[in-house]
Amino acid sequence: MVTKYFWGGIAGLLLLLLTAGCKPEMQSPTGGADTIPVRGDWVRIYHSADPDGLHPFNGKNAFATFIKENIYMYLADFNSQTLLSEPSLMNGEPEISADGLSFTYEMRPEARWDNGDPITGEDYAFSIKCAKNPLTDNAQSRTYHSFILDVKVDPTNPRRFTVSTDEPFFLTQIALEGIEVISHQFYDSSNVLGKYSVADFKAREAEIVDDPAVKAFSENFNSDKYNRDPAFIYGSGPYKLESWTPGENVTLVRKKDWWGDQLRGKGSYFQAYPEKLIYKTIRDRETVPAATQNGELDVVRDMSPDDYLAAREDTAGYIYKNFNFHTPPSYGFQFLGFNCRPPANRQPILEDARVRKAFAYITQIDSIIQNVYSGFGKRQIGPISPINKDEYHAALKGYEFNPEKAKQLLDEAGWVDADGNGVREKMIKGKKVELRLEILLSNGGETGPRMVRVIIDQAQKVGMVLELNRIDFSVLQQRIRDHDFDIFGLGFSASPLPTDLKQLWATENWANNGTNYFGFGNATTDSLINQIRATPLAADRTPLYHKFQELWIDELPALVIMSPTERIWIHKRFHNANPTTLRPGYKAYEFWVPLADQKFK
Amino acid sequence: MLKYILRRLLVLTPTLLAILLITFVISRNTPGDPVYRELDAQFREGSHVTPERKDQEYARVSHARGYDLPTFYVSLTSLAYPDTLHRVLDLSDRANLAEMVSIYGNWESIVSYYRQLKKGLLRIRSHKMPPDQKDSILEAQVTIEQLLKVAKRPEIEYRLQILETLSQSVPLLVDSMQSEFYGIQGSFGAVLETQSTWKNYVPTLHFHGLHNQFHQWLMGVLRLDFGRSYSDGKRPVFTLIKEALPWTMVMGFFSFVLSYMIAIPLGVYGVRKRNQWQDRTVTISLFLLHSIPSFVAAMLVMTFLCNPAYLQLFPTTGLSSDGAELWPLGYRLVDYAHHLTLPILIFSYGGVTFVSRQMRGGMMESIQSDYVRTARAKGLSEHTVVWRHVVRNSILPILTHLAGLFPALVAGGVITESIFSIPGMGLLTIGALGSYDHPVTIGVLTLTASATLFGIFVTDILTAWADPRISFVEA
Repeated sequence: MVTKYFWGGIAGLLLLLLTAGCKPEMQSPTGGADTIPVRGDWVRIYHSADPDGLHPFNGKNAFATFIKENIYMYLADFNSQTLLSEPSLMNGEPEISADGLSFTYEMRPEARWDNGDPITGEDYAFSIKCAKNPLTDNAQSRTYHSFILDVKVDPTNPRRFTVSTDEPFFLTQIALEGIEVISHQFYDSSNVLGKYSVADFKAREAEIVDDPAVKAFSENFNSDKYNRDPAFIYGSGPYKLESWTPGENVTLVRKKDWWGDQLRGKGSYFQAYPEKLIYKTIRDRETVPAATQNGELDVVRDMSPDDYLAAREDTAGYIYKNFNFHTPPSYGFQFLGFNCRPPANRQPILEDARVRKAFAYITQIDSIIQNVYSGFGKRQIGPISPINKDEYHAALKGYEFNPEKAKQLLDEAGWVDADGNGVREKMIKGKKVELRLEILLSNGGETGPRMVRVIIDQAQKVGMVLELNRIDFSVLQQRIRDHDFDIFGLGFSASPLPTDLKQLWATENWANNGTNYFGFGNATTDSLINQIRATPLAADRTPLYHKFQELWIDELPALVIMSPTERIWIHKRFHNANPTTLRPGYKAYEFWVPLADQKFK
Repeated sequence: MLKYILRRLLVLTPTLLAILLITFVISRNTPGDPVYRELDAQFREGSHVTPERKDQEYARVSHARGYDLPTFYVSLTSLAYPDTLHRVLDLSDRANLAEMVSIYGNWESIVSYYRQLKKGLLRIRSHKMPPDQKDSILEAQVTIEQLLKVAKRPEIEYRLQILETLSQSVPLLVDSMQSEFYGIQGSFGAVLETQSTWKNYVPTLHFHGLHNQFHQWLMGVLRLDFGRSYSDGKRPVFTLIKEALPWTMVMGFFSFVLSYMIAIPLGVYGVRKRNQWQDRTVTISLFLLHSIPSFVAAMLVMTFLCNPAYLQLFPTTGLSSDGAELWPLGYRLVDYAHHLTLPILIFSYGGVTFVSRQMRGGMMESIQSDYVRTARAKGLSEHTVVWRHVVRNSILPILTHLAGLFPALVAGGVITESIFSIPGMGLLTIGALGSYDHPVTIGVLTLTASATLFGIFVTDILTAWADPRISFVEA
């Protein structure tokens, strides 16, 4: 009796749940020939993790950045196709003083906050104050904008303002135009920061830090509501936060009366068509193809090479038939870094550039890209992306696979296998040292170890012993910061901004536990780096970049393996869904769907 | 009964404290420097952050998190070991100083050497660096930075030798840094001269009072304050747990009910048809089912029930449909149920075999008992005998599973919630492990361990209540 009721109940429940699967608002795409962009439809985008917050300054992870670009606006933004900077909030290019230290901007007359107030120079000045305020939780932004001395708003025209800076720096203009502009009235309705000028944040820092009103303002500004509460996420972009279910999705909805609609066609940013952008968090990447097939995702990025290939090659499959596949290049690169100036507790094997070059000659980079990374990468010779044409040295030659050359270099460097045990050795400071090197990798990921194992096999053939050591990422960071390594593997991301070489390659960042882990550099390379930083025109910087790359490749502080290509699939119903080298590889706000094909209405 | 409950509480309290202590020890021994981990996002733009700024931010965070306090109420160390080492903020410096103490045994000389190194580092960082001498000056700086990381005599002396060579050969260093270099050399000489390694063999007890890291952490845990996440916008760990827990509990509750509703009747059925082909078929089927790993089962149901190529009946991920937040409550509840059906099924099926086997085993024992024979002799129907007498007496062992329910929910959730993207405790845990978010991992561990203990307590009470013969009170 009990079991009979039980099975009856289960059957009833299942029936109820199955009928719940039918969603009346969904329609099948029919394919259309319309060519006039229209608003509407939703874009459902796969993310592997939640953003760490949507605060204009304090949210930092990549997913936060991808979402925030739809909410907040900058003075200028990069065109997704030309990769050139285009005015977005600013009304044309700035006036730059003869000494290159002052920049006068004017906001667009159309630019408005959601309450209809114009966006003014005061808003820009307030944004800079928030970035420089020592009590806000954004030390990174604070130090990055330390070169800004003051912002003066034109008393006769509140949309016009002049920013003064401390010294000529090639990234000044981009940095000034790349800060999120936020509403001073929304974030600081009591005008607490209005008491201080931008200049005061340097000159009167101690006083500001002790001001109870600033403390209260900063505590409120740092609070979690500005990170995730839809009522407190407030920008001038085309979208606002509708809802955020942690671990599940973040939904942005198109503003009904966005000021930018008046400017449609005047820049890539002024064409926000989708009604909603839904960022779905799916932790398990294995589930993503199934979710795509089940019609739950429209845009998928960052699939494993194997899953991506499987979907792309299954010509009878749902994904192949309904999605377009894109593999735009990216600015980042993956490399194996050498310790060129090891501390005393490590053998100085890699101090000799010939050993580093021998390592390069036994690395089959093209084969690794094809077989380990399934072809989803482009060969990159040095530390500058080939996409940056003004900077990249196209004539530079890398080290092609050549074990004989490797043997010759090791012989020349004094590494010989005198005892015939298959491992080369050398007398260093009176002691016999074998050619053994440790390669550190973080213990996440599969492709890195596969790549290293390929190199280990080749190294054995030339009498070099490589040992792979996979460690916790935080331990890896600690060890490379302390220069306690032989070789380590890592990836760096980059952007279309001109390349600032100082962070990775200046000698002062070898000291100070900085990020020149390699110990690369000398007076010549430091001088080139400083010259590049002080040269405002891109064309003038080109020969300096070329010279630097020539020196870099000759010293070879790291072996760049490749620049990975993005792996993206986008549903075919979207028009204007062009891949871009800007991260994350697409601009969802540019997508549009003909009315007849819209899936969500 | 009250006496029994008190006795159980008396045993469980020190157990809970021991669990918390072990969790604390684990939390303080996670790899890497937790301060750097917290500051990592701010330090990523390496060249823009000055070393002084880094030191300031490091000190601020280190102090705010209580890393400058003694670790525990009491410490048993050697006579050589100072009771003030915790005041050294940089954790790697602190570890190196501790190693030096264990080698040389004379804290006063060691700390004097350490201060000389710090002074030298500060001085050389602000040193002028003309291009022609920059390389050598930086080499001197890195050598001092490395001296802060090494404790053994040969490694220190090798570096001191480098400093001496540099101080004699680099003109700028000869003028300005020689006194600092000699200071470092001299203070290390004093360390060697005043070595007192014997002190390392004299045990000493230090009392630190309540102002210690464990006490601070324990008070936080009692207030359900497990610290802040490294990666999720630095939100309080307990907020993350509060968001995740309801979904795991919902899934756990329905899985529990579903698996028991299937397993108990199956166990009973097995006993009633014992040793017949029906019993054997059920047994074999259950073991086959049990042998399928849950991630394989999840992928199978996803492939065949959530796919336009087969049956597109269920959603694959999440808790709700796109735009469901605007639907009326009734629709939303049905939508939740629709999304949770497959995860709950996958979550449940593993328990069915286990519970039904337990049930069958318990019943097989009971069914041969005298009281069952008596019930049959009284002329009761087989149905009444089984359901009213045998099942009631055989269900007791199943109660003991309650204790392990919560950890089982979290452990099971790791797979099921990951695959179906249900933002519960399992997903929170796997996310924290994947992103090295130790405060979240430790928070979940503490909560799970405490809940297990609570489960054991409840089970003991229920068992004693259900069967007065079990009381654990000495006869």
